[in-house]
Amino acid sequence: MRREGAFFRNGLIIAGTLIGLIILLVIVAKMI
Amino acid sequence: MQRLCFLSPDIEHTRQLVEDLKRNGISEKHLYTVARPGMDLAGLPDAGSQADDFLPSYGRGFTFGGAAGLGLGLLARFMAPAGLATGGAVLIAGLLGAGLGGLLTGMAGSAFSNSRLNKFQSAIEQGRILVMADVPTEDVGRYESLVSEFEPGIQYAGFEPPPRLIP
Repeated sequence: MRREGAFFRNGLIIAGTLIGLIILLVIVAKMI
Repeated sequence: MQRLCFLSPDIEHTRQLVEDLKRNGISEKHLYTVARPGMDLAGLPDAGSQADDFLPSYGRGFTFGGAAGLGLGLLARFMAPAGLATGGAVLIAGLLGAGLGGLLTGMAGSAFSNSRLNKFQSAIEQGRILVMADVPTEDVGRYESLVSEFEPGIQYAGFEPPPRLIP
């Protein structure tokens, strides 16, 4: 049960980072 | 909170220790047990997020990636023609570096066992079971003496700081 919780949290961190990166890339694209 | 570590010689001692700690006010979510693969830890609180190296690796990647991104951004700011790399661009380079570094290192790290538990690795491979308990800092002495008094088979193995997301 805890193992699944840990995977879920890791997934959330990965997803959050990816969304942040995409937002940053969009900002960069608009700057250029 | 401080994380106390104990090494237990077998499952029976581990069950007894976990029961004792629970009876003395530590909830199950603050207890972790780590054993070598194949050992049956049924009924014991498993290692959960402590089992793999995702978070420590993510922290390392985030820090070094961020530093590298900022460094490159600053380099570009001073080397590139004026106006091409502004302060905002330097910041974005740092954030991109941190995000990419954290993401890639974290995903790679999740394939390995927790690097913070390296010092217990040989004991775990010999078949001993690592029990970790998060206890309030002011109660550390109480739990230490409780375990040494009532559980003679258990070895107290020092502190383990809880993992930080960003070091």
